[in-house]
Amino acid sequence: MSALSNLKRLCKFSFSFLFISSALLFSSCKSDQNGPINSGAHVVDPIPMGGEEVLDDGGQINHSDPIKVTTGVKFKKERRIVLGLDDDKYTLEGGAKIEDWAGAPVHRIKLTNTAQSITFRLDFSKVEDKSKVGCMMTLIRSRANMTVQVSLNQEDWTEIGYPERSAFSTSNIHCNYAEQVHDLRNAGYTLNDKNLWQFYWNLGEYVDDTGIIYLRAGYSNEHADILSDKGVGTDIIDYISYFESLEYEYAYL
Amino acid sequence: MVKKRKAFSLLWLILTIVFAVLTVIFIVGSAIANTYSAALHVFFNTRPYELVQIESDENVDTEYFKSSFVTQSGNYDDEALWDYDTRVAEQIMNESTVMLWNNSDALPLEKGSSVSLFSNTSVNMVYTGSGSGALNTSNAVDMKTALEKYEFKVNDVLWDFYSTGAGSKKAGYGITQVGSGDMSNFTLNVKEVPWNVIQSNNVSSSFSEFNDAAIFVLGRSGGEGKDALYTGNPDTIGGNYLELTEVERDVLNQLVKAKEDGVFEKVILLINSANPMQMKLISEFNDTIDACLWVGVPGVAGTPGIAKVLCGEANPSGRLIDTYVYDNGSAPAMMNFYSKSWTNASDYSLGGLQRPYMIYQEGIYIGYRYYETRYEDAVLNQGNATSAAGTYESLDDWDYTEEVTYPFGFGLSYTDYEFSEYDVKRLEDGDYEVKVTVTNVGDKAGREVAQVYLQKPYTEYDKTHGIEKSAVELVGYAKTKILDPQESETLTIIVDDQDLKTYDADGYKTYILEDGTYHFAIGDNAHDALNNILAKKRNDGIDIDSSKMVDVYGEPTTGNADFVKSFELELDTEKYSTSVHTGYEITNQFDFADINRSGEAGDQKVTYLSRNDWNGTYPKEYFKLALTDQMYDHLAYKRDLPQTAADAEAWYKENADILDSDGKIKYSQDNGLSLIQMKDLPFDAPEWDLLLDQMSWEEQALLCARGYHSTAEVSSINKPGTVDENGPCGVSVTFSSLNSRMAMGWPSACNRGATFNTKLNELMGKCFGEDMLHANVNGCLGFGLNMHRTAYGARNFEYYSEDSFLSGEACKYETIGAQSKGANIQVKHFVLNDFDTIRNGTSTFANEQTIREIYCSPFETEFTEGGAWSTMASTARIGNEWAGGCYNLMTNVLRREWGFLGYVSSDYTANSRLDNNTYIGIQAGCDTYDASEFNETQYDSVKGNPIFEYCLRISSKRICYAVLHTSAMNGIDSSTKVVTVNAWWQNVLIAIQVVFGVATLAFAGLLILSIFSARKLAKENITNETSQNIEEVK
Repeated sequence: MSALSNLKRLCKFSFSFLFISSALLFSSCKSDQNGPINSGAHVVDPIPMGGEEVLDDGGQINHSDPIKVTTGVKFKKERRIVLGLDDDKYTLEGGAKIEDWAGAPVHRIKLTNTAQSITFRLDFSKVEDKSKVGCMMTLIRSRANMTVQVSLNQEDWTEIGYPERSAFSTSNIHCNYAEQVHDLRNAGYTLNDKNLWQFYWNLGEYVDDTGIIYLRAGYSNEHADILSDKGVGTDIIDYISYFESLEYEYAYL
Repeated sequence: MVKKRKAFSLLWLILTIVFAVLTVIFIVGSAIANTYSAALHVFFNTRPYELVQIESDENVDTEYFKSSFVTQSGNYDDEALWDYDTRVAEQIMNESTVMLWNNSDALPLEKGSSVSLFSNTSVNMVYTGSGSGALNTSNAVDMKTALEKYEFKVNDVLWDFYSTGAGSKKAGYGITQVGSGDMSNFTLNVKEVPWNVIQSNNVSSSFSEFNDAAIFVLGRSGGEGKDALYTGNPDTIGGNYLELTEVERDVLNQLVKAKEDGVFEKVILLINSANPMQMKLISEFNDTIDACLWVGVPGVAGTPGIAKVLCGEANPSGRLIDTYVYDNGSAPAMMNFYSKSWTNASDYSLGGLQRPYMIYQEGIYIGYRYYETRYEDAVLNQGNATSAAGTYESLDDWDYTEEVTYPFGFGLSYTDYEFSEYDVKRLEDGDYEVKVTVTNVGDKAGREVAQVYLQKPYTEYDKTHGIEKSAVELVGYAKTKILDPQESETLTIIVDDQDLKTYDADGYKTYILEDGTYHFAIGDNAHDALNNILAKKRNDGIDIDSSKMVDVYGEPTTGNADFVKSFELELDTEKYSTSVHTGYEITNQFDFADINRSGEAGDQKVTYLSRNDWNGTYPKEYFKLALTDQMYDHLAYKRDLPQTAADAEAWYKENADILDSDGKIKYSQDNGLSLIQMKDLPFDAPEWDLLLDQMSWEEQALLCARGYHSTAEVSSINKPGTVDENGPCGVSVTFSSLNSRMAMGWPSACNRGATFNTKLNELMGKCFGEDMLHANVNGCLGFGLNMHRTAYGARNFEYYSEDSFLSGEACKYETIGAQSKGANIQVKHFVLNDFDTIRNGTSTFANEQTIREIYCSPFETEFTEGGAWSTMASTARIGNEWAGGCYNLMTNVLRREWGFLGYVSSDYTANSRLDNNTYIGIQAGCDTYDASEFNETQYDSVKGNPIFEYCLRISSKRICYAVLHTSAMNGIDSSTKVVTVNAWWQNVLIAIQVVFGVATLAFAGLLILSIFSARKLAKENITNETSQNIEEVK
């Protein structure tokens, strides 16, 4: 047995040690019980910190990756379709009908099954830059089975509005922006329904060169929201609007 | 060739020995590491178990405590939290800074002012104290950075001189804690840089460019283990740590002279100390130093709040949490503050039981309760109040003006406020509604504090039965929003009618409401409110010596009776004699701690300080106390408690249906329950018994033995382990060792109390809880609720105030905030741990009224209103019983009177120590122990003993119940399993042992092979040589 062979053996042992060490250390890494605190699955506490009332600087949280949120709308050339007044600008299906909204000088349409719908014809044909066109609906927000769709031919429909929940959402209906309504139509009538909101959608990506697009509100089980009023579809109050240009104001949370 | 082989043999031999020794070292080391695994888990921030999800229901939200600081990708947003924390810390500082004087509106300084910072402390601020309240201050915002944030220009030359030059710490200057490393053996040094050193280093030429103000920062520190000295400090004048040093006094005089010479426009003094400075020498500068601010202890991010006040962007709205006096020795508690040995200690073989004693002879009269009560009696010409006893600074008779510099609750503002429309109504539920309108009548915006004080009647019954009444007691406060000039706000403050009761240990032996007049007063501070009460009394025809009425500054005053509402109430000995929380009958629980009532002290009697005769009762020397045989018997830690035996017997009878056929507690049952399933169940739900039946004896024993910065995991019920961290000023220290993320180091509890802003307290608490949530820490060994019994308490920076009401309120709101984020606040040290020198086991005597009304009161508020889930028992004795082993405290008061459902942990302990003993503690109601080396064998000697089995079961339940309501349960649902595993460092130790062991064997093998090989070769050589010789012979 030579010194050389002994050295070779030593090397083999060394490699074995390294292998064993590596294996054990690797297994130890796996058993680090501190665990990934940042699992990427945390949800924001719905209860605010409350610093707004306490800190001199307003108490806003300065997120390290601010979330860009829409805080308002800027639109040009609004046109309205008023329920019960502009009957020629919408069609009703499945027995849907315009009703009075108790206590208020406005009408509503409440869609309660999948057969019912109301379709508005929006004409943007004279708009030069059709990429910025948009619309708005005044809705009762907490409707579990609501749906808003668009179509160019009234056959192929794309859903653009549906019940949705999100940590940073200002509404629970999918849209581009929403805000609560307190004084509808500026008629001086103060509304008490806290679920009355106006929802805005951009339509530029859906409209074609003709500028004619159909906007349908209905009833769907597709995104039924268990936390909202079950068995009620889209519930439009008073009127919808459409705009030649719909843009947004932004802020960072 | 043979030589080479011999060389290899030697190499293998050396390597074998080396690796064998290393293997043995690591085997022994691993054994030690496993013994102290709890400590190492804390250090490495690891956990000895993992959570295994068997099946997950995605619809169940198991993030029971959520953060408000989350990134879009769902990670904790540490950066945003740190930013928010710093803003809250800064506001705490600007709302706690107390302006003591401001001559000729010297403050605020103009924006952009050029200033020179003086003192070594100015570059090395006292950001916190030492011990468990310490913080990682490596990244603390220094005063220069803070000032520059608010556009001040700071003298760089002077800054460099103090931070790195001839005036630096490296040069031997600064506030330092010098000692042997033993927490109880250190000296607090104050080495300020003399004026001649400043002069000789050519820094004075820089003054002219930064001459708008010279700002001198006067610092004093504090730390766990040893109280500051009233006499005997090596550096300070008179040896009084809270007095100036000669050098500080000289530098201040030099700065005043420089101002007079036109070098500086103004001189400003900042007091950077949680402990109230003695004002005797500082007040010499009242007229010459332009302004003085108490800034307390700012933590690591609070200094910008001071700068904000200096420049006027914030208006100082802090109020003093302690009374500031000319001589701190004048507080009657000082006579019995530094504990002493029993006079006959040598007669007893005390061994490990030998500890000193201390008597709270001053009774309820700590802080303003003493000074203001004596002042009232001086004005009323009663109780020999103006006698010489307790006179320190008065020239002749005791004189308030000559003793007190600034009263409790004092604080100036850059603007003026007026109170109006003061009214107090008694509500249907018995509480009192106080309303007052505050108007800013000055020209700067600011916040004002409305302080409500109560005076209860001091009656003949009181004098007969040894009941004391403070002339004023804080019973409510509120702070306005920022009021613009001429703006008003009406504040509503509810005073709990329970605050009107008094403890009568001698007569009715319970709380009573005495008949007489109860005055509700508001004022700018305690003294102002008292003057208003005196005015009301004068109006009511009571004979008072109005000539003795003085305001804060010693000027004659008449007070204002409009700010007092009085109620005539009748004696009620029933209503308050039962607990409002539980209905439990309240009666004496601490007779054993009162020398006069314990029956154990023989003929020895204590004279407690009484307003009935200030002269005859003011403590004149340390009360000499001799140990008796009965007292000695009580010192023993290992005793059986008959009360617990009776409780156990009753429990076994009441719970016969859940016991096994032999009438014993069931263990290791398979009931299929997990702790999380108890989440919405009350403490007394029957399901708890099924859950507890699943635990083994060993699991209960471990849970109730080892609470070292943690609670143990329990696999049988899928209880996760917890990580519980120091301390009361922020959970930042441990993280700094390995974790790159830092939690906020908050301003001291003194500062938080001085804000007098409960909303800010709650917000800070939320941030504190967020810090813990982000760091995966579930419990905090804090907040601190002991009292500033004297100015010299080592850990006054951890505690809020000399006032029990303010302490309780501030801590309560911080706890509510923190626990809303899943934190387990382990408030400490329960109770009578208001000193630190030899605190382990010191026998602390006090009468029951004092214990309840002064020292227990903030804890009661904390548990009954703040909802703290745990508490740390004092390591001191109450009377001769260790607090954690005191059945009356742990069970009768804490649980039966206050309805506390959480758990009690001991303070730090170890096998080598006799105190904080598990044997007596577990019987009394101390549920777990801050000892790393305690394990599941801790209770082996009592295994099978039905009393201890009962105790461990109850304690296990309390711990589980508390943990269930914390962030430790985040991520756990009913299918989650808690599985014990090794942490990475344990695996590394195993790996090293294996590697070294294998290496030892391998080298040993090589050695053997080498030896054999060498022998074989030698044999061959011999054979060859022999053959050769034979051939040659042939």
